[in-house]
Amino acid sequence: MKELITIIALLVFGHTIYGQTYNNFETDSITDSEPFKPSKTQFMIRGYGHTGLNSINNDGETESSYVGSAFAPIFLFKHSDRLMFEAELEFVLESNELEVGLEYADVMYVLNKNMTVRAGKFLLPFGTFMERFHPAWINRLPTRPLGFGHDGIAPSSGIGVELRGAFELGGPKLNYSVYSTNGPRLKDGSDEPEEAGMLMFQNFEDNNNSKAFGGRIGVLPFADSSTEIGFSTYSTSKVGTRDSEYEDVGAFLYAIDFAFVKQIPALKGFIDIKGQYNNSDVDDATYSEVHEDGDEEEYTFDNKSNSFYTQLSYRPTMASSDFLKKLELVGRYSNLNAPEGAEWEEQSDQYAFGLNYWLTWRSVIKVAYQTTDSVGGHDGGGTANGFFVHWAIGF
Amino acid sequence: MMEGVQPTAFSFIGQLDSNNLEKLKIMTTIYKIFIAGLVLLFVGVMITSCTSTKDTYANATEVEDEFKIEKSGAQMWGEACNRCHLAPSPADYNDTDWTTISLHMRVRANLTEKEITKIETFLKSAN
Ligand code: HEC
Repeated sequence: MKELITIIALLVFGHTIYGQTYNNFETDSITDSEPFKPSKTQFMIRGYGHTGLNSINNDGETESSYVGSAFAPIFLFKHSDRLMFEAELEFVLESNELEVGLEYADVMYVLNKNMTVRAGKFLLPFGTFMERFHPAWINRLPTRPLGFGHDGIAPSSGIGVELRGAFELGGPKLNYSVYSTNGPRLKDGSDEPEEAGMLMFQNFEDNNNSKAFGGRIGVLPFADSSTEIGFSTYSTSKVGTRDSEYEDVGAFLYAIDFAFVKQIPALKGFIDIKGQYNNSDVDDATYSEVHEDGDEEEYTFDNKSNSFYTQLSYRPTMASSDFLKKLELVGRYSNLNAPEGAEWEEQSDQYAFGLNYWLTWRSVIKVAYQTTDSVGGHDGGGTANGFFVHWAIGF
Repeated sequence: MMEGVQPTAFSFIGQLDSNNLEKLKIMTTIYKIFIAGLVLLFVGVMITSCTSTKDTYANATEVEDEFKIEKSGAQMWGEACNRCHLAPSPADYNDTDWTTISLHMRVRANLTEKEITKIETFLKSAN
């Protein structure tokens, strides 16, 4: 009996073992599968954050504060080799409040080797700063040049569609982008009289049927891709709200950008030069100003603004010391001219100098000093000096 | 057939008896085919001449590629990926991630197909 049980048991177990062997080596898809095969669909969370200490001296008054704590997660969904969705959320602590923004959210599809279509909210290729250099881990200084960002004169993002692409010219390269977005809105001064005549580029729903059209052409004349020169325009025939007296006010903006990045053995490191000039021309219109005594006065001005920045940085990547290799020196000049006669009239010049320490390719500690001289502007002008220590990290 | 034949454009061919008419029919067909052929040839030549610019251009780059030492993906990575930010090292991401990043960068940085394919291959081979 015992033997019978043993035999039966052996048969049963033997069978199982046999079954397992069989499964393992011939039909089991897991062990039988090829080495790791990536799926075409892919999802990545990327993004960046930064934080730091700002100490700003404005005509003798010093304000110092820990700032930033900005967190910007980026979501990338790749559906196929051609189709992808990208979105960036931005969380910033500002003026004691948490501000949440949708920096961009767009879908892109590679149509052919020279053309990609994008739709949604995307960063505008108006010049290069906003589209390419503004993230804290890319920008070599803790601040933005004059003319960009809040109350800037250059558009940064828009909702619409865009075609972009690049051509190989056997050494030199050419890239282009053309787009149409909901045009900007004109601040007519009814809400904020001190900003009458400014363009507001955030226009989630178009306030008139007139769209903005823009584009950029970039040329990389040398085979080593070191140099790029770009020309961008952005125009719209109507910026005012439909049926308002400002409806037919149009705007034309253009930008010229320049970049040179190259490792130069004679200088033992990377030289990086960037620059951009922005020009904005909004048709003249009449705005009204209410004086303290209640009198209303109409005024107009030549609504032209421009801004410029140029930045030079140097990284001694070929230095013998590992510490020196990670250092970077940067200097930047920028200026802004807002229209004379406007409530927001301003002429500012700014110099910024910085010393950066690169922990990794996407993480940097920036120490910078910046001095701004202005006439007019939000704070009434004067000299503002700032000292910044920031830590930016991309992930 | 056709009694009292009127002098026609084809009267030089001779009297249009049924035989001749048959010939004429064949000739017009041949003529039509000939014209159609000419048109096709013309269109064809037009198209080829237009594309041929592209062909010579492509040939030129091929020739150039042959004689110039073709840039390696590694060199292109060193040049193109440092233009905006510091270039990441191939080891920073795995192949799957590089595929996504390459597509992202191709569009964001408006890179040419040639650049991105070469760089992507390099990044995946060196991580
Ligand atoms: C024209 C400028 C530009 C060039 C050239 C460029 N990048 Fe980027 N790169 C960016 C910007 C801008 C971001 C940040 C994207 C964001 O935050 O929206 C970025 C982000 C990244 C990231 C983070 C993950 C991601 O996809 O956002 C990686 C990795 C990266 N780049 C790799 C590369 C590589 C590799 C190359 C060379 C093929 C390259 N980049 C060339 C501008 C550029």
